[in-house]
Amino acid sequence: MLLLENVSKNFGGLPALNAVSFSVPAGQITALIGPNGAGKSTLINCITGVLHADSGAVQLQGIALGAAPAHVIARHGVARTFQNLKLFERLSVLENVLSGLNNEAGSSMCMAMLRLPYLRHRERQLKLRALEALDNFALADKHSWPAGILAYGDKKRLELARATVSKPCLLLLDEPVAGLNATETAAVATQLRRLRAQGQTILLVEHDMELVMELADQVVVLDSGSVIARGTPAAVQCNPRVLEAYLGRMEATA
Amino acid sequence: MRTKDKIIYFIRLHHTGLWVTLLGLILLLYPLVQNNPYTLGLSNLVAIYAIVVLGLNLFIGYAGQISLGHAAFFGLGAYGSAIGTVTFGIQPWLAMFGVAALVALLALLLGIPTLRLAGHYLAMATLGFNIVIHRVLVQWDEVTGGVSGFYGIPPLSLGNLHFDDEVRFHYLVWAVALLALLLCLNLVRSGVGRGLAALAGDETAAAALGVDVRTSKIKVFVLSAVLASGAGSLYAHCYGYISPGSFDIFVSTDLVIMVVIGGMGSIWGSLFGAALITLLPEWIEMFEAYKDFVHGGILVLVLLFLPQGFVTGVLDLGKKRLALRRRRHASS
Amino acid sequence: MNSPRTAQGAMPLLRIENLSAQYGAAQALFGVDMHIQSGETIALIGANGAGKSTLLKCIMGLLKPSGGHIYLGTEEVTTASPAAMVRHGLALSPEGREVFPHLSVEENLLLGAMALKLKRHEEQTRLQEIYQRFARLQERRAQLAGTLSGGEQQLLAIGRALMAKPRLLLLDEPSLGIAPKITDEIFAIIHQLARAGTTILLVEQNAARALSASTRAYLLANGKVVQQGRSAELLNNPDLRAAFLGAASHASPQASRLGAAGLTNIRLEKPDMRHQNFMPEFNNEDELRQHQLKGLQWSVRHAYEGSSSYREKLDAAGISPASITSLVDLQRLPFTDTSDLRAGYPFPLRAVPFEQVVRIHASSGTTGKRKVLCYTQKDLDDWKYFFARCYQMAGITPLDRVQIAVGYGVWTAGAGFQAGCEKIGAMAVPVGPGNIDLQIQFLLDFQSTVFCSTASMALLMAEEIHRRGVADQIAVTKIIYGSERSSISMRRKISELFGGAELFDITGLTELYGPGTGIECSDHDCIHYWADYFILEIIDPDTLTPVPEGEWGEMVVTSLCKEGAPMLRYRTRDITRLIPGPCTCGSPLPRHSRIKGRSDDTIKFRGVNIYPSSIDTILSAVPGLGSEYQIHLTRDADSGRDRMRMLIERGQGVDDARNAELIHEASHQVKKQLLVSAELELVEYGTLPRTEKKSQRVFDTRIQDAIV
Repeated sequence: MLLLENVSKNFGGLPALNAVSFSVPAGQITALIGPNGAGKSTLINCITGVLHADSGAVQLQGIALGAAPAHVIARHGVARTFQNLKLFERLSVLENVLSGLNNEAGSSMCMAMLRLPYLRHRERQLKLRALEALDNFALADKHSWPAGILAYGDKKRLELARATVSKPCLLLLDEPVAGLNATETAAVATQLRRLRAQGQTILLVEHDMELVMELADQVVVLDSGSVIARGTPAAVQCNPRVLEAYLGRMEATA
Repeated sequence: MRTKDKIIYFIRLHHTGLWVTLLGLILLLYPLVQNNPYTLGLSNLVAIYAIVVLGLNLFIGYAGQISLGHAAFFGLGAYGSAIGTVTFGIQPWLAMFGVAALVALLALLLGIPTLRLAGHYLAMATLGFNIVIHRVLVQWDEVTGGVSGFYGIPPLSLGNLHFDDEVRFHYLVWAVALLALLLCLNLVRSGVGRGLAALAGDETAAAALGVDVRTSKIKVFVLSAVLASGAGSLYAHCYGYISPGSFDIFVSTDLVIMVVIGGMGSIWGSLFGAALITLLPEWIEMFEAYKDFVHGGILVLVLLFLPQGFVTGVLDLGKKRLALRRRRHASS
Repeated sequence: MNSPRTAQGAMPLLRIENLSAQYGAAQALFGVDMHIQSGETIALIGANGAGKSTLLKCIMGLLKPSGGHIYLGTEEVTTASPAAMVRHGLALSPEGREVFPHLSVEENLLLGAMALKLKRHEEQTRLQEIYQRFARLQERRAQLAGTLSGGEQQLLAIGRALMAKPRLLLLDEPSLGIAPKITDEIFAIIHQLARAGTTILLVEQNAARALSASTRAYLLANGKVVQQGRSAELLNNPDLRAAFLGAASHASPQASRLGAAGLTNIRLEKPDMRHQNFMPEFNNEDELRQHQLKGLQWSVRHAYEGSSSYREKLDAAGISPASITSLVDLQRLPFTDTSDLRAGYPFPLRAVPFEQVVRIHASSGTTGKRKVLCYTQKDLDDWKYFFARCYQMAGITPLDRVQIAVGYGVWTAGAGFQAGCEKIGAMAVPVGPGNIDLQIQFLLDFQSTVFCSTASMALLMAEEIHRRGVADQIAVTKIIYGSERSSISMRRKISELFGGAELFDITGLTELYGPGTGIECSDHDCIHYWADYFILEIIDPDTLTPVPEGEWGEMVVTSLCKEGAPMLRYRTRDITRLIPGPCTCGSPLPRHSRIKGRSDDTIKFRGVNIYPSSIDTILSAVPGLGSEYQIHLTRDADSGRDRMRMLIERGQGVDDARNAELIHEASHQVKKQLLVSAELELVEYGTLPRTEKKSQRVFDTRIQDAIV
């Protein structure tokens, strides 16, 4: 589904990504892990078009994403959540999810102003789809609440609902369980499993190791901008380079 | 489904249209109740400003941008219509649409470079634009009549019906205002409108959802300019006389205050804001001299306590309170 | 107040008691206790988000705690401001260094002592001390701090903190984003400082470094201290490793799939089964047609010579076996249908002597007499062969475990599925229908990889699996279902609740051997049928003439080698269409679409033909509706007008507040696609009856007199 080849990015001399190559197979959950500062968020931003890689290729289902702006990449079927939650706090929960269906809602301002029957019909359909998405994430009873007053766990789920409602080709999750307690984390894990059962391709950036090991089909480990390991969770867990990256070299210092 | 349910659903589905129709009915019957030309003149002015404010509110409240120079478009519309009909003898309606098209083009050319800027810089650019246009209106007196103004603008007419008195003008200008209101309400409820609201909320997130941030900003800017231009043309044909003083930067800030009072992002609020600021001097006559203080004071207060604008702020508070109460009931 | 003493007897320099802190509504620290003795180096380690930085911010006064106390010596400093803390003798080297990029190195250092308002002389002395310790900084004293490398900036940040000659030095993640070599240098400096007597609180994610550099350590996770003790002991602690990498789980859900795939059973492999191919070997369409013609000629002759009822029919139509010379002659043959089978009960259309009949099967007809078909040994072998072909098309291998939940006994289903399964070499688990408890138990115990049943039964199983929450404990990757029509949303639901299984619709009818005459292809857009065993025609059910290629019509089948009870132009009453052109899955066999409905299942309402499958499509298109429905057709006694009332289940968990919108959308779809207006009513999920066999959905009470 997603193929990265030799993706590199420099921030004024500091190499953030160094010839990163891996593939994300369709219908599976791939986890991207690595110590803080390893370049995970930079990589996600390069894939989604917030940043552009200096060299290397990013391909989605064979289409080169290259230097396309973020909204064009989104229209190709890439959806994401954000580490620090970017919800529209003043809009209602339902409107937040509806904004996830933006690509299907028509882009002509003139037609929107006239509100012709076909648009009204489409609005109705989109609303029902959004409500269905809210059903799946147990937020349907709160659909008219302004998003700002939701509890943190609900907000995380809302962002997930917004990203999945359009059934994107590729779903990028940036630390979806950060700040959640054990019950909420388990609920998110169940959701992700359900999404995978429906055939959704997921690329997951996380620090919660238990979640990653239990959920991921493939794990890619990033350290200081380079891929240091790639494989099944079991294999990666025993990889000495991975252990070293997390626990540090066990040397005696002077 | 029971009939009662069907009726409730119908109302829920069409509530916007029903409110607009209700307002339309009230306005239809209004001149029968109140035919004092002075009062009607005021409400007509409210309608004209409301058209500008609707567009400006979309730009400020929905696209989250800032313009301190919209009086320029208002003025271009007025002078364009005036010069077109008087100097060039073009048919008034044609002139109005022609000028609107030209203003749209100008807004596009202006918008493409300036909308890259953000915050203070954009405000300064729009302010600068207003100052330039105002200067031109004042200095180029052979064409515009300069400081003394432009006289003799003919009224609009539909066949034999001339819109030359306040009552007739009331119907014309409020019809246009209601139409603009309806179109803006439709826009805001649509997918495009949601894209704009997303853009105002968080540009990165909006882009990640497929909203073309740059193009949307420019589109809304052009739309607001066209509305302002149309309102300007109506203004010119209503009063028959215009002068540059009605289109300076103070008018621009007044327009922004109307948006803020009404509530940024509230379409109905735009009407409220336009009405309040236009009618305020009438109600509190002593403040006429201190108009700027009052306006400035209101602006500061509103921004301090209800930064989203007055009507929107109150509504948001209400929604929040309601939802919080329901949340407490749900958890108990 | 009595100052508490620690185990070491001396008063701690810093003591934190039951500290709690929150960010807005989210609590970050839960009652943390900690103490630092003078001269110690304490490490605070934990994963990202554990609360380390929050704790530092509380100590430094940058964040106001929501509960608990912080004592510096004897003084309580819980709510002191950062500037006050600096005056108390604390200095912080922040996470990410935070040097002032537009100021020079020297200016940055001088700012470190700014809050103390030192005399110039003292300032310079301290500056020289820092330069002595950090030679690199001296080299670059005039350089702008923003142009330094990460490691040098870190040294600068530490130097800046040291300028204040602090009693307690707080280091927040000094090795973050720094190359290992420079990290060595930094930790060497930290060691030096420790030996020189500075008290240090070191916050780090790099646990090994932190533990090697400290005397004692606290391990923070989710805002609580989960471990503390001497660093040397903690270095070798397994819990520490687990906290960072997650315990290796021996109950891994992947393991069961490995077992079912038989990777451990290589010894039991049946080698020649692996490479069997059941697909026919025609190079092109002509070869297939020739084969079909031969089969047709044989069938007609066999039927004519072996069955008196066929002979009568053919004679009446004026057809002799010799007159079949091309495939076009097929159209001259008379039709056979259910009435012929009922008329010939108990052995209708038998074309072989009884000693050659080795088995009979009967259909599950609910009205009138059952349809009974007889089989010779060759028939059974042929059936077994092309049923194995079905399994092959679905990608089943000898390593699969096929749980067969269809009816056994006199019905064709069980026998067919089992024979085909054994032919392809897979493991058959012949449970039979019903008994959901036993089915689930076997799915778990045997880790069956394939499940065979009717669509309704599959739905029942899917809902039960969901109810028990065992989707990740079962190994089903494929579901083969048949004998009943299914809608898109039903399929989706079954697939999802089974944990993402692939669904294959298998076609067949008792009259034509049984199930297995065709199966959904691996690309899931059509059904391939075995044109080398029967010829498929599509006719218009009213005019009985063949429809143009690709159009909908009734399936008519003619067997090519069936001995016991040959079928000549048998009207199946199923509506489908041939799909022309090659299939994306690569199979050269011809294909038809999924069965749309039966020609006698079609609802005729106010002059419009409504296929039940169209209704399925509509329901699938409205999000929020379930897949179960009932149609009640009534006739108004007074006006004589027909009325259609549809009862539709809402989706699972959908509230009735959404009724109005769902009905609006569904009515719109019904009007658009079926061109009729019906009354719609929504009911709660699960209220409509579900059965293991075929569910009755249409209740037509318009015609009150008995069918003659």
